[in-house]
Amino acid sequence: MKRFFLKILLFSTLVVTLQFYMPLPRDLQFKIKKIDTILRWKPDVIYFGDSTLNWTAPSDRLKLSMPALLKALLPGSVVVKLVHPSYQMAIYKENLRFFILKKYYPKCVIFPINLRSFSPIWEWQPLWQFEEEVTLINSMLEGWIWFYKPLTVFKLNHLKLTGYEYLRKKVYMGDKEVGRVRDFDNLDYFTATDENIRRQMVVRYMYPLSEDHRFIRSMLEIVRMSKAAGIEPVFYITPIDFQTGVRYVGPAFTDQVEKNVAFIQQVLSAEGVEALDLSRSLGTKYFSWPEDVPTVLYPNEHLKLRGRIFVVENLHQFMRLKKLP
Amino acid sequence: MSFNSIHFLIFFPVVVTIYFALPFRHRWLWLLGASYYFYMSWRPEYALLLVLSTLVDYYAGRTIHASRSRARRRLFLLMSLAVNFGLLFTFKYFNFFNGALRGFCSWLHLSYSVPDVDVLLPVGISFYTFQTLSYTLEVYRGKKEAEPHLGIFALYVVYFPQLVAGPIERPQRLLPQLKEKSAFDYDRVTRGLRLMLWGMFKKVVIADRLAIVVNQVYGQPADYGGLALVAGTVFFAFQIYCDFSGYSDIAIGAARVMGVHLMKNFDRPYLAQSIREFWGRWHISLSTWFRDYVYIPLGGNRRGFKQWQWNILLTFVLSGLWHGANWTFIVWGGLHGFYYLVSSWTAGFRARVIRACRLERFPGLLRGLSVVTTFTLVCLSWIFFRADTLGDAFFIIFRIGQGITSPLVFDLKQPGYIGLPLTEFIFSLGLILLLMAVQVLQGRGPVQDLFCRQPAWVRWPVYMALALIIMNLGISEEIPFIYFQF
Repeated sequence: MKRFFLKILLFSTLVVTLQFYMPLPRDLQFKIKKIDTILRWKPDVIYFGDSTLNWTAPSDRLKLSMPALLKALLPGSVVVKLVHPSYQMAIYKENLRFFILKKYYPKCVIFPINLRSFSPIWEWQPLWQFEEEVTLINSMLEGWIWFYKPLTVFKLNHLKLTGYEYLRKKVYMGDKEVGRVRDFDNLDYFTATDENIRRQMVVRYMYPLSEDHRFIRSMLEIVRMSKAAGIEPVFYITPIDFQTGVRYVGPAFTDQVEKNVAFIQQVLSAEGVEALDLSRSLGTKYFSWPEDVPTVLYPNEHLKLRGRIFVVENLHQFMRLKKLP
Repeated sequence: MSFNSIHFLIFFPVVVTIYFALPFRHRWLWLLGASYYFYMSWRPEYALLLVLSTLVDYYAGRTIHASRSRARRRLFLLMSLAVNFGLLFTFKYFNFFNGALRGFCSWLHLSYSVPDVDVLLPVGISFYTFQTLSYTLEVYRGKKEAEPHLGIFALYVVYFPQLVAGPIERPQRLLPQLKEKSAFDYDRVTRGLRLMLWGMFKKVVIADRLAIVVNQVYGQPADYGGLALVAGTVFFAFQIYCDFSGYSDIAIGAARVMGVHLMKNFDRPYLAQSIREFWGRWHISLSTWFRDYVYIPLGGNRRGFKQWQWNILLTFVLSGLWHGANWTFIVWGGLHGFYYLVSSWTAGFRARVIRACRLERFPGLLRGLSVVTTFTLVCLSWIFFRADTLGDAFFIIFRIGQGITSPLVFDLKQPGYIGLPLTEFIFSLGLILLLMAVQVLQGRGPVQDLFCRQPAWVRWPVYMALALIIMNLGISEEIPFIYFQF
């Protein structure tokens, strides 16, 4: 048995040693490069966000994304976007933590608050948890990047949340429970009847917010981390298609979304941060989803050019008042 | 806990080391605890089902063995069947049959309001219920004495290497081995580890890589042309083989390390020359289970040709249903039954064609043709197995039937992207060829024995290369073992 253990030990040592000479996989190199580029450029402003940031509508004559528009308004500053395919406050927090620990302190960091993404159908969607990127960031910070790939092959970043648990998450309309995620995220979803649109508006916007919400907790950690590092965090609540919401859900839509907006503002102001509220500022014609039907069946926050210009001008104004960047 | 997890990479060496360090009389207890821990790492509460199944079958087995009354023996057999099939029905089939009944009632314009049950399918329930049932049935038939030791019997039910995806063992094989004193044997342990390494390679490097194309194509079949659907189907054939046989290799290897020889579950199935032969090579532990406990009790081939045909068809349909509560699995099973019957009906005709074409003079060509035909038929059936719905399956067959001239798209930004860039796709094809080459070699004698005879300077670089390939070219995405869902 002793001989066997010695051989196993020798074998493991050789494999571990050789692992240091293995090239990093290309997809991993790409991910690292994305983060490294930001570290190298040391921009003044990092604009975090999801697909709404990169979006341009088919009818737009100028295909300029929101970060590009902001860049045009801040000619003296270096503005960089850090976009993920979907909204996830926890990954923004991890990215910021990485930059701070690498001793890079941008002048300001911008975080849109996309209220639809705080809904259970978005917050708990297993595909949008970015566990892999969190593991990658940790491996870069803790110096085990060479073992990142083998460890992920053996599911170090294994997602605890299963599809079953996601589908069982409760859905609320205000304080009233109206079902589980599985009642809303199913095949019916692919047929945009009036009732389905109403149900989708309910599941996406009618939840009540509380301090226990993961995104709220991450948001507060972002505020505390930024302030401790001398970085100014800028939050703005993205425009929502209220007209469609009221049309399908009724006045209760306005009440609930306003409650959620007020809650976020209150939580942030307790930390000394003001959030720019653009939630009710644009009508349906500024949103791009009606022209994306049938690919996009339900309202989202993707804006047409005029809508994007409106948001960026307001954001710029808001930043100027704070003397940023 | 999955075999391809860090959790298992730590769990297994710890369990084995302590297993060999412990005195023999305490080993069963250690393995029993480890097996429950292994299972409970998924959902602790579902261990209660294992406990229930164990206690019921232990008691039923003891009573059947001790009783001389035929009625009493039958009563306890029925109790065991009712509890095990009851568990299986509640957790796996209730919603399926309930949905079918609801659909039927709605078709008749009748009201039907029995709600579905909201439960998650317990991992491996089809495997361990079949294994415990084989115990009760064997005791009832008098082919196996009841196990007096509750602990050993409980270990038979939950033995962790084969608990969640087989091989489905028989009591005559596994129970005596669990009581046998096995010392540390260098040769046996290294053989077990080699098999585990090969199984891991098949799962994380081959199966999970092929799964990317399969999931992409089968996720939205309407977006793809005939060639992409053919590629997706052939990839699925190798994915499911590498996934399941990879699991079996790891299970057999892990058990072998601890001195237990589990039954072979796969024997180069894609080199089978007929559907009949395929079923002698694919998921052997399940097909022999159905043979022994369904097909033969139904009468097998002893009650005339007509009855035999029904027996074959029913056995295959039930085998399909065992895989999952979905019409796609039932059609898959039925299709294999149909193949089986057609091959029997056409045996004479085929023999005449072979003679007329003088193909018997070219045995290699004949063998090759048979292998390709069998593989094609198996692939056709896999479409039903993999498709989400029967509608999808028929759509895929129809689209393939329209032609396979549309090119494969390897550019992520283009519509109809197949899921992998060209280099990765070619690499995947290379892996399939490597696998088939190993299988052809295996046909000429055990590859392991051949390999073991090589000097260390040949073996060690191969081990290291395999380990490094698994670590660096394995797929990180979460792709669970396919058979876990059964």
